Amino acid sequence: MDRSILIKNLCFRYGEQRDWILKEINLQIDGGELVLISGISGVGKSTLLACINGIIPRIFTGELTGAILINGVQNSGLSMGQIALDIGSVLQEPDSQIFNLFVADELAFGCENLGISPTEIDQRVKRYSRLIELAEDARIDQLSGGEKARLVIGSVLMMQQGIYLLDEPFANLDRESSQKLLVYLQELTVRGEIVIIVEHRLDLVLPYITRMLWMDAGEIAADLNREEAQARYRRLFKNHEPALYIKRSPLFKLADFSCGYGDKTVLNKLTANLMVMENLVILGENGSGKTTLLKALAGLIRKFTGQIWRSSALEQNGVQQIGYVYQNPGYQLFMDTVYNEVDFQSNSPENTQYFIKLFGLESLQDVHPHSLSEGQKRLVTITAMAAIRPQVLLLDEPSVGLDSLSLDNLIRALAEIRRELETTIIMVTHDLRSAQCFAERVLILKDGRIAADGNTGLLTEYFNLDD
Amino acid sequence: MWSVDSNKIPLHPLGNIIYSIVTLSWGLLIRDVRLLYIFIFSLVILFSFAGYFKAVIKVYRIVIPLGAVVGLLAFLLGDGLIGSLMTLGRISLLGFSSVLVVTIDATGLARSLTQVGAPRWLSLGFLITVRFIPVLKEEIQRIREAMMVRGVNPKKAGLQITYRAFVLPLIIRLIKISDTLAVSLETRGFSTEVKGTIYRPLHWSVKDCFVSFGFIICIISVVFIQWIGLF
Repeated sequence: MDRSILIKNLCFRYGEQRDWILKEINLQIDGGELVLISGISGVGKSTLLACINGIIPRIFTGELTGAILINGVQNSGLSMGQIALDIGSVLQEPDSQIFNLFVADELAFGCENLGISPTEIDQRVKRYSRLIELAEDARIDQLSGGEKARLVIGSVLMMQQGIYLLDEPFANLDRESSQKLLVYLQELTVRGEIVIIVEHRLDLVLPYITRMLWMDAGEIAADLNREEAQARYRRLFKNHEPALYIKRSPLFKLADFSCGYGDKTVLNKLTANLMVMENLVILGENGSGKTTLLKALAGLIRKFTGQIWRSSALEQNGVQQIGYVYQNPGYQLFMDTVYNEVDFQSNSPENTQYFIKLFGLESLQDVHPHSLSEGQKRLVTITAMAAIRPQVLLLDEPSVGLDSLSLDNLIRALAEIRRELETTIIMVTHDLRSAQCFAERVLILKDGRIAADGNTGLLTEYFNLDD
Repeated sequence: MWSVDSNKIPLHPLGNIIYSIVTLSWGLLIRDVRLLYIFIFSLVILFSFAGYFKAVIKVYRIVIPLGAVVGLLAFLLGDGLIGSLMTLGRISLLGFSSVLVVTIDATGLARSLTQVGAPRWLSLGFLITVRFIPVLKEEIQRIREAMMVRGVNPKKAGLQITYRAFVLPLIIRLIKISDTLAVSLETRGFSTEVKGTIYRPLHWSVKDCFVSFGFIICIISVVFIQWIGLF
């Protein structure tokens, strides 16, 4: 079967909004293409995917003009069910897309809906659980965020529809898992299938694509092949040189620290000293215990064995001097404007303005935080935390959802608060861009233990930069 | 739902629902306190052999003290010893029947409903509803942690800020989760006109036969003992 997506003069805007989100998109994608859609946040990348897979206008309504043809058939006349026979979609937020309690059941769910025979489903469950490296009988509520993301990707690929739309699928995935999935997606395109990915981690995805669409203000601003895309990426991303500080005292000391969830041990006899003013990047595969380590440092883990010592500087007048930014920023935002959010624990209006300016949020000051994109929400949370002027800032995947420009601004701002306020920054990331610009010391976790602890030389090894 | 591994309790979900309903309705009809306790004890023994021992203990750790308090209140209000023991027994009965429901594997229930010809929206509705309870619990936990991290101390921050910091993120998260869930359901082929299949159809096992036989014996024994007026 020859697969294709043809888009003619596509325009879209939500409800009563005056501005068009997508403007005159004309595009043809044929079988065998692995297409990356990129661009800064809010330019319409996810909206374009939602138009292709029919979510717009069937579930999220608005004004849509133009035509989309899937495998030669205009999708405006098709129901969501009919479109789902041809197109598989991986949405953002894997946590919210899971229906079952066990891995095998979740993998099988889509195939059951498509009427695939139980014998065939059983074979696919075995094959795809190997691909996503999860045990068939694993309980989903004990998986890490990255493992859940792999599960959702596996569940969609297992339906074998032939056209796959993936919206930031690698945001929470470690590099090795991402590369393994990218190799598989590449194999699919060799068989004539179509893969479209929206992703900000360009360094990760670019080696595998056949084509990159660069979107700007609702239009396709550039249609590039892989070589052109790689050249553009090198121009986009500036190099930051992390400053080196030498004299340090311990901020946290962990000795044989172990903890877990239910009967699952996540951190296993961890021993480490984390120092003041040290740009520490924590790396490791999904489920290796990175987020749990941050939670332990933030004092959110109550049940543990071993010891954790915190410097007295981390508590002043009974107030904890630790800023912790979650993977999902939505939990930490509750004020009615960005300004009020940053001002919530800030010590003065001048301090609030300083941080708003530092993180480049001036134009968003009066906007409701929950109306922002995920990347912007994350930036607001980081700003609100930084405005407390904590001794240490714990950042869990701060680059997710941030385009190259926003990430560049974030790294510049973090470098400044470290220099000016002497804040220690500890970051968990899977993103080469942030790790390279930021790391001074690197800690690699594996199965809840420290697999490596050293300087930036470890990045070369971890990210296979020699390749 | 419970930390008890539902894979290790392979009783048929529909059987569990029937046992639960019959246990509660039958037990409430028992007039003699000794017979009520014999009935509950027999069922606890029967289902403990079927793998429910840990779950029963877990529920009874809460139910027995609760029943004792309510029973004591009944005693103080003049129901007498028999009346208060009856109250404790009935609360224990309610606890036992809830064990049978809360240990059901949601996926298994959805599949067995589909197998007996229930519409897909109904079986999936069950699945999502049952799965939503632990999701809600987890969301509340995360938001409480987030409040701590942002320095919102409910004891000091005042009602308005506490309300904002807890309720607003919770509502937004729940709306977002239900939105994403609905979209995911559609994109994963839920509304195709294709007849769905069942990956692991559930069958009535030997263990189910053994338990249902034991259960029927318990029910008949209660009727028989009441009929002959043994107590």
